[in-house]
Amino acid sequence: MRRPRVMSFDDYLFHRCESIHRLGGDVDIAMHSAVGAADTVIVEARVGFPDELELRVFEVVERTDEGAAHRFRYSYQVRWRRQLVVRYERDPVGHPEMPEHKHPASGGRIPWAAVRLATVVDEMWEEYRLRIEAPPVTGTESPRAADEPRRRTGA
Amino acid sequence: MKLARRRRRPPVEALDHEALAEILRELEDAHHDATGERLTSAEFYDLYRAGEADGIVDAIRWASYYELYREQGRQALGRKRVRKDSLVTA
Repeated sequence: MRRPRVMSFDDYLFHRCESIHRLGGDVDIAMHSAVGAADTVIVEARVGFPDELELRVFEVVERTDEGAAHRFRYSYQVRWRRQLVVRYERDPVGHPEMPEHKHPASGGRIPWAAVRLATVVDEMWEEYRLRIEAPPVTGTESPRAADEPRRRTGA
Repeated sequence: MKLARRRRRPPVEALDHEALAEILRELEDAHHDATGERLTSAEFYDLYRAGEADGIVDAIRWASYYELYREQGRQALGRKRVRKDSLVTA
């Protein structure tokens, strides 16, 4: 079985920025810590793509005692034309009963294994493709159905 | 090549107590603008801890900055105590 890769705190921050820049969109990224608490860093990024497709990245990264990076919290959110497409979160304080979860476009919160940013990006492009290929919403369909092109197209 | 790559990583900006308070004020105002409800960050955090902040936009962001703010306040208090103690023992 493949063991998860352990990355140092500093390397993680560097590679996280690299991976966000490599997405190719219009990147706005910032990293914050608190004075006197450099072992916790908040990474915030907004990546804009054409056609109002947007990826928002929020991570709270902690340095472990061994100097490794630990994603204590994350939120990866995809929006298209200001509507939520999907959001994945790790929130062990707000939802200790379900730390890792997914907020689908249809609403609610469902348990979901920890995700990597690359996986979210893959899903973003797939969902975008499905949305732009979906037939126009007719008057007989509910607004919720419009949020779920995968189900409508049977893909 | 390495230099060009390194330029891509912004420096980690260390925020002081006032800067963190400013971010929290912005989050409080954004929540008020979005919902009409005025919540202090401490009140929000109580809701968040109770698992009742699902409907609040940016809840994770708000909670994270509030935790940083609170942690820094504790540390500042600790530093003051150390200084006071060192004066006593000097």
